[in-house]
Amino acid sequence: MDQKQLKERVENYQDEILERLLSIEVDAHWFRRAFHAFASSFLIFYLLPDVPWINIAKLVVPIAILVVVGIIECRRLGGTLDRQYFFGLRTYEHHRPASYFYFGAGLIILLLAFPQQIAVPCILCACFVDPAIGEFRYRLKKKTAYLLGFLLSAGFFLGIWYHAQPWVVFCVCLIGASGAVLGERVKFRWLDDDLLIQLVPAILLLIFWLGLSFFHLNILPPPLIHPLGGV
Amino acid sequence: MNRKEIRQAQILILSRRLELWLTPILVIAPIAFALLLLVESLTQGITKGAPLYEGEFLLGCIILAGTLIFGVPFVRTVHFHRREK
Repeated sequence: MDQKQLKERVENYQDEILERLLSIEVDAHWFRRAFHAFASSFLIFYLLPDVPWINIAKLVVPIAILVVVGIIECRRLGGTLDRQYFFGLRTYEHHRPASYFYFGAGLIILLLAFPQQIAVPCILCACFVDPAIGEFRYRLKKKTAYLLGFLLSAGFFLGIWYHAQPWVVFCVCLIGASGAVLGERVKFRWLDDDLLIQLVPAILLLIFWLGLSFFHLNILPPPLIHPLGGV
Repeated sequence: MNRKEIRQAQILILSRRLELWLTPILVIAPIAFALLLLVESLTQGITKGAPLYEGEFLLGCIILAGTLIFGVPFVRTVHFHRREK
């Protein structure tokens, strides 16, 4: 085979790959669900080693990401960035910040401003309870969907707080799961449920924790995730 | 349009379809993180006998199960659509 023929074959092969890649279709509904689940990997924040320069990066990098995403959203809403880049946007997100921006903002607020014991179950609720309620709503009655969502959220709070005293676990499950379902249930034009499902239970639990601290009761269990390199 | 221009146009379209580039990350990243948590909890918890790491094991299981529940149907919906040239 001479060089010309070889080049032709390589080019044909490249065309075939391009054609195949372009023919891939992704389902927007499940893309959004998978995006929610993907956000759980940001909990790696707590696994990062407790070293001074990493601690600074832990503060700077999330804020920088949020600023960059904010700029991207401003450009999209201003019309200078093509909407084609944003796959799976809902129609109501065309003229307001997209859900992923609210999700990121909530996630970063929880990671930076809340104790791990409160932040982790709230983030898990946004990652798994939100899409689960969405799926339940397709298949079951609305009330049943929210009830299952409540039980799933309560399960997450129970799993994270199981080291605490039983009455504390009960209260935390009740407050946290109610807050998560409330955050998912209430709809506002400018506030997305992806933000509220994280912040409502977190703020309620923060008030609960600080309120009891006022009476010299420390209810927080030990943290769940320990930085790499040992406790 | 000649072959080179067609290819450039195709690459441009491909570069705009961010969902294609994100798809592997969406599935692999949480699974990798869950496995990291499981390995960390097993190595630290079992070999060093530190019971504090059982929480990481639980969290790893939750993330792994959740990702599989939503990731598998997502991957199954990704398909090649035969288009006429």
